[in-house]
Amino acid sequence: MKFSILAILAMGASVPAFADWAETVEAAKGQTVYWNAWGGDQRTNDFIAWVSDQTEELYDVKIEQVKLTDTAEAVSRVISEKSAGNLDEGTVDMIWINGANFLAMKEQDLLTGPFVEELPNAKYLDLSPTSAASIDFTTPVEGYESPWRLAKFVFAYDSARVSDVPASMAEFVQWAEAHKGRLTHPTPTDFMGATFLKQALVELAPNKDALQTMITPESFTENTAPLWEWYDALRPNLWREGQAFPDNQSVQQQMLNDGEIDIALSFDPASTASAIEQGLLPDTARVFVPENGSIGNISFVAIPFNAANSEGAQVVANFLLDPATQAHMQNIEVLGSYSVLDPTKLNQEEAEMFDALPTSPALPSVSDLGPTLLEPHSSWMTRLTEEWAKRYTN
Amino acid sequence: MNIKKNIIGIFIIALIVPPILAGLWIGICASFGKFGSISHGPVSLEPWGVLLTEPGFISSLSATLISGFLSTFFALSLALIGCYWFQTTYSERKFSRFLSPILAAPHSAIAIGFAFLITPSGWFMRAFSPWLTGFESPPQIITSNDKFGIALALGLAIKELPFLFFIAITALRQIPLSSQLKTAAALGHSPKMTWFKIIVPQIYRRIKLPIFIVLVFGISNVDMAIILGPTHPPTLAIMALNWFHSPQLEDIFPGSAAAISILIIAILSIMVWEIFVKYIGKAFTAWVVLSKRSSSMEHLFPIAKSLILLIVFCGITALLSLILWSFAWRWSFPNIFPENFSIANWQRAISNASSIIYTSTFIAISSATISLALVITWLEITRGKRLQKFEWVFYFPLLIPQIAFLFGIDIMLTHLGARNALFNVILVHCLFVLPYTLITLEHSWRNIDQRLIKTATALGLSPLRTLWRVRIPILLRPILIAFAISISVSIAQYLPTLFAGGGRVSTLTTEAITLASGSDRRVAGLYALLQIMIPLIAFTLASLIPLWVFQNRKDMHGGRA
Repeated sequence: MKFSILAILAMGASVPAFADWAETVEAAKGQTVYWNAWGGDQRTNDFIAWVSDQTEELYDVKIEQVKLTDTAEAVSRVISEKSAGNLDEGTVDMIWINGANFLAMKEQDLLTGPFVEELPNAKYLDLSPTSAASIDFTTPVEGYESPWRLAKFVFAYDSARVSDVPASMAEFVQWAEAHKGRLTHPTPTDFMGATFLKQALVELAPNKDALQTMITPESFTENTAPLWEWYDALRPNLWREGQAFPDNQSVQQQMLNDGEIDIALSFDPASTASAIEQGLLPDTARVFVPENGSIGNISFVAIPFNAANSEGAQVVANFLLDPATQAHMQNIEVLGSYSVLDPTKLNQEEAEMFDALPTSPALPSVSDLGPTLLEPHSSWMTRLTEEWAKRYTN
Repeated sequence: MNIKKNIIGIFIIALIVPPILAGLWIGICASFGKFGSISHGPVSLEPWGVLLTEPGFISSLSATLISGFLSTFFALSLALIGCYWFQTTYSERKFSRFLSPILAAPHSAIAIGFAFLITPSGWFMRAFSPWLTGFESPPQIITSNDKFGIALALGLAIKELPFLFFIAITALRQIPLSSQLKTAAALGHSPKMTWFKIIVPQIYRRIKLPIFIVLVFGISNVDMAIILGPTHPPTLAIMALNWFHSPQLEDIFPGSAAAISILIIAILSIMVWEIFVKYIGKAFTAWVVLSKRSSSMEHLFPIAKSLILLIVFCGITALLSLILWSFAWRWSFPNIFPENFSIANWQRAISNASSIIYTSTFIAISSATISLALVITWLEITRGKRLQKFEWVFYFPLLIPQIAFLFGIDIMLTHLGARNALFNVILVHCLFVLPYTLITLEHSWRNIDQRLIKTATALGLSPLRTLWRVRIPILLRPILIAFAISISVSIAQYLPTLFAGGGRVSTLTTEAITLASGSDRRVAGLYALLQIMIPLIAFTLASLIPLWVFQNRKDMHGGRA
């Protein structure tokens, strides 16, 4: 105890003492946090409702989930509030966010922060400068958003219908030729559709380092040329000959369940196991990942600069990082989302909560998932989707 | 007294018109690059340039037009011919039993059910697979979300047919039908041809306004287009919505350009429709004069009859599929019924949806009550007044595409500091509910037997007491039906709830549409069912309450809406 107080004093004013946190908790009492989160997944909605029950009991902080069809809705709301001069009574208290939306908000000074290091449970995170919790799509987080669930790009398929799965993105071309019309991807205006293209880009780009920096016209032309060649070969054999695409990965998962296609994709390695659990995919559904690994990132929560219930939002963000919360979330019977905590920072008791979780044959082990590839710089995603729309919209 | 009435009337108009004009103005300004603190530089055409050069703009435009015109034309022609069949063979009761659920169901609920019917893995395909088609997996055919917006047009037609049908029947009551039919028969015309040549044009003239409402809705709707419309590119309305919701601030400009372009397209469409009908009308008159007393045109009637049956069948099966889905656990292709049933969906919904049901009902009852009060006031003070001429402004919100002014209204509410989202939603709902309250109540209110009112006045009752003691009791049934329709209109609102509520007000409709973009058809179906239940309860109460109130007064059962 003595040591920790000393350590805090030594670290200077930027890291507040527990007294500050106590003030935050006190101020948060009675607040209702409007958490803007994509609402297309019932289990996530149920989980958020569970979190609300817990925080209400523990901290007298309620959560009202604002169910979005697209996270950008919340961003544009904050923007219009700012332009209308609403600087401290914002209607958005917390956003489930990452990538382009985070970059847009951070660049326009629309976020509260840095606040993450002030959260007591931040001690369970690996916040070293290059860790996944510190970099969101190559944008430094710098304490402006707090992690809550892990995302890693995986594919799902029905092992009763398909026995061979592609081992790399390049092999998708032959696979689609052999299984005409049985492959698709969400439209790239959707986050997951863009990720499908990025996964291929990361594998096919001749100069992979360029992907980690701000895009230039030259690096774009050079590095996407193999991608378009690959896509031109792939597209005629896609579902509806590549003329139409599902809106998002949920719709695509439903298509897999209906048997309209053979492969779905997800940013949640446990989503297949949990979908089986809920009767949303057949028992024979399984997960696969390209052999050289797949893109991964972390989902965060951020607090807009004008949030009316900013303290409550911090209390919720902190609660989400509690090992017990993360273990509950990782349970496939609940949500099945992988924990964002650093396992080495858990004590034995905390680690056991994770070991005791139920398993499923559709749940890949960490080693099945292979290496995690870095997300390209955000500027790539924007250009990539624009170029795709230009080339393939008629 | 008269001045006072005029002031009240102008006040009611002022509740409707200025917000819409202001909303439109904000949208028009933004479409030329002027928007509050973020507008840069002078008026610019750039947003329009972005819109017109957007990849797929032409496809988007054509899908928008096809879905609008096709659905309107289809639903209208079936409704016009269908009235014949109704008039000659079936009683109103029998017919409305099948049409009412479709009429009461919000657009999005029908869309969710219909999408399941027609997808390659849907119910229709399952009914014939694999025993007839041989398909073990769904076939590679394009049905829903087709590029041209045909699936969307059909979905719209399912929903609009009953609406136009009931409207046409109301119009029919104003036509001296039996005498005209008898005269024509005496001259040797077949009843079907009489219908086609004489009656249909008379109905058409009386229902122009609803037709335009349907046409504008078909062009600008979002609720159905999200579920049934093309995705790559989407219709213009969805394109506008996506821009409005983009994280890039500047996208408000092309979004506004898209929204205003929908307004322009709607105006042009109404004009094109009018010109088209005018020329058809001329050709029609020539044909009426020249053609025989019975002709091959009569074959249209059985075709129309089967198409109507098909449309109603699709609507009813769509709703049935929602019921099945809400109780299903697994239901995979090609099984025609779910493999196993579960009440888990309902159990979960009861714990999660109760507050949403409460919110939706509260908004619906509030906006219906406000609208009813305003409409009754309006009808009372404009009796025999010139003010009546301005009544068409109440239909403004239905004739102008929602997306063109809702964004502006949202911005305006934020500027005015109206931050109570629920209150804003109720107010904005009123804009869309009020015209329906008026349209359903107006006719019976103005055609009440004037002798009753005169008697009451002669007996010394003040106008207010006459209203309370005579008019309202006599018109109880139409008033309650207008109220029920208002509730169903409010429950169905998607875009107004989304914009005015800032996403913070969840109703059954916003919830159902959000869930329809997810992977769980069971929950989406369940919410769609809940959407239908509230209006159905309202309609049931509207028909039962008068029976109960007037159980000892036989003559009070007949009043019609």
